[in-house]
Amino acid sequence: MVHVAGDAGFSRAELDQLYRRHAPSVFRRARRLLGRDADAWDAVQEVFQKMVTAHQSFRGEARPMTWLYRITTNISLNMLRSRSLREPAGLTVIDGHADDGQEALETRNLLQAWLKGLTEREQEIATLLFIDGLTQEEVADVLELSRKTINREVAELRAKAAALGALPEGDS
Amino acid sequence: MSPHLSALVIDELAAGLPSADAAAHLATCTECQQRLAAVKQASATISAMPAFQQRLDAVTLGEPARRGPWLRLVSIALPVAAALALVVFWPRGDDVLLKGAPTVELIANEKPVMVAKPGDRVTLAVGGAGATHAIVFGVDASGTVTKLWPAGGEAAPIAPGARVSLDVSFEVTPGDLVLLGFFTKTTQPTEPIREAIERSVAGARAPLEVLAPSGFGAVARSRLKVTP
Repeated sequence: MVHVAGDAGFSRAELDQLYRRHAPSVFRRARRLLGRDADAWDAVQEVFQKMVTAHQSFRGEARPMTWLYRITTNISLNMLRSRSLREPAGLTVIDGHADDGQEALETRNLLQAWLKGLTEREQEIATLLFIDGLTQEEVADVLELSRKTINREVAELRAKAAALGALPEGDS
Repeated sequence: MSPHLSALVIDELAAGLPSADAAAHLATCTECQQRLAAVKQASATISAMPAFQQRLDAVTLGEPARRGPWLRLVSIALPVAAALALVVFWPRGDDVLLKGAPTVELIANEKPVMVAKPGDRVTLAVGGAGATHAIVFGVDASGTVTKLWPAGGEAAPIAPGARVSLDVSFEVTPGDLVLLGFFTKTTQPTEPIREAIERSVAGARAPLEVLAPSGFGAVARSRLKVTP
């Protein structure tokens, strides 16, 4: 199986260059969300496989990093949902969280609360806004939303996350 | 002084992407200079990790990379376990593959596990029988359908072999479990399979008697009995 696409896709050299340029930031973001290296590398692989299959979408981005943020967030949150779903089903995944401090623990606790209490859209916005530290304008760019929409959704999100007791310190 | 650069802009600068607006701020802001230097240093460290090249190979060549060390360490500590009985369904049709029947099983110490106790540790393994991609679901006695592998939303590549460890390990908890593996030569999304299994569970006499739905490739099925 060769993932590199045909005429309109990436050449091997181009994909290699994109990977070397962007994989470190994809890994750092996925690692922060997923908490363990093995899962973060899985996310890296999925993000770049997605880049290959959706090369037109990636090429069409005026700002490629926003595409990477969107896809990395989406894939990482899907992996977290999958992880939380499979735990009660007769087998529990043996946890391999690295010992990476209080901030990482707070991040994981926030994510767990958001996975239970927020919609998938709200989870994406919360992750980009509160964990990645993007501005509202950048979140709008990443998720391809209008400024008006993001302002309204962030206001609703803050209220909902506060009610869940799941706002990061300094945002409550 | 303008607000500090966002993480997005710092990532863009670290990746060598142009950002004219950021350049002016960066020239005068020591804090953002330090943040950028830290990200560049982290990127260099990540690029030197063995998995960095392995995952690039997996993307460009379709070769599945190995998982991280935490799972391998767990595998080393796996206890010896009992034997596993395996029932395999091999449907005829468009998805018939070439080399015998695929398998899905839980293993410990490289041996299949059919009966286990809560607390035992087991690893998921498959034999693709010529297939290149797999998805594995679990169904418990309550009828809950859980995707066990892969983590993402698409079938993932598997290495050739009769018993290939997927390097995802589990601790056994109370309650029997049925494993359903789906094997193809191309990738496919996982969610339609989950929905089809849920429909199959709804039509089964009991959840653990669920039959694997057809139309998603070759199928393997096994059952884990969990004793008190």
